[in-house]
Amino acid sequence: MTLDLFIRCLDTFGADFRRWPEEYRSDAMDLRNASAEARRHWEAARRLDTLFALDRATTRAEGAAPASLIDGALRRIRNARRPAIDWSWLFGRPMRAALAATFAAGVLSGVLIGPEPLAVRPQGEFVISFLLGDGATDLMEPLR
Amino acid sequence: MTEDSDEALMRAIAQGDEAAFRTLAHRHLERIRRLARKMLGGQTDVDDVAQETLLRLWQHATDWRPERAKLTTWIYTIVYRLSIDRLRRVRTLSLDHAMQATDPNPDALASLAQASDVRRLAAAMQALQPRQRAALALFYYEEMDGAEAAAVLGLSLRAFWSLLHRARQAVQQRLQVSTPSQEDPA
Repeated sequence: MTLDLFIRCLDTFGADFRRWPEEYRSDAMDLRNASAEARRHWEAARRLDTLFALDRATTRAEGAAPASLIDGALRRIRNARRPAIDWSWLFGRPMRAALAATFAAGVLSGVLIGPEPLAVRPQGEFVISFLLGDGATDLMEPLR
Repeated sequence: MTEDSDEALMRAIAQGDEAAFRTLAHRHLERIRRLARKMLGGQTDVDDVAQETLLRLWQHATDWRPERAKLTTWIYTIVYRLSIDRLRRVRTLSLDHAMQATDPNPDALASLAQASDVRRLAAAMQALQPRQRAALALFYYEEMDGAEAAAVLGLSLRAFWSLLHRARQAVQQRLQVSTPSQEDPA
């Protein structure tokens, strides 16, 4: 193993050889034991690893997770489960039939009990009276 | 597989079992918060992300396939993605601010001589790019192996090693840990 490769591995995997790829481990240990330069690099990497370990310990010591977190999550889960207002009944077959029957009853009652339709003046007569006044409709008498 | 194995609990959760959810949440909540804390730095967002992670765990319980990934890997992936989303929204601390930031709870290590170095490390970590921070957190803090950590970040193993290398070097530079390689590149 070259010193360059040794340094690159240290800068990736840290000083703990157990975390290195297996094929490098024994060569790396040999190099560290044989080379003062390699050992200095290894010790620098170990200092950073120690800081990581201390920071990890600090992070773990920063208070337990509040139980309310799980309760809060469960509350949100239950709220999400609660069904929204269901309008589908409005579009169901019975409702459609009821609406159709109401419409038909309205039409039928309009036909049976509604007033007689007013007599409608012929369309031509209406146009002439509109243009020339009501008296002008007399001009149409011979045509009737 | 025991009754309270992750796999059994996840199956129960997929069927709407709240007790199973509570057990699993208790089991994994600390590691969820640890990674979120490392990624985000702040306490408020950490708990938001933790709760959102639990919610996703419930909602997507049927999506988890034990033969594809360990549950912890799957959970870390959720935490990582939620944290990245959160960071994108908040636009994280500037480098200067981060370097002045103090450990949120330094008392735990106040008696140790390295406490100030640890605080500097925490600040240096916060100043890294989120992916670099995640790589260091997963490999050095959560002690995941490379393949698992790569899966969490959605990277190939090779790309993960490269990211980890850059991240560690960036921390070293920010801490100004004087290594022989900086003094003598030979």
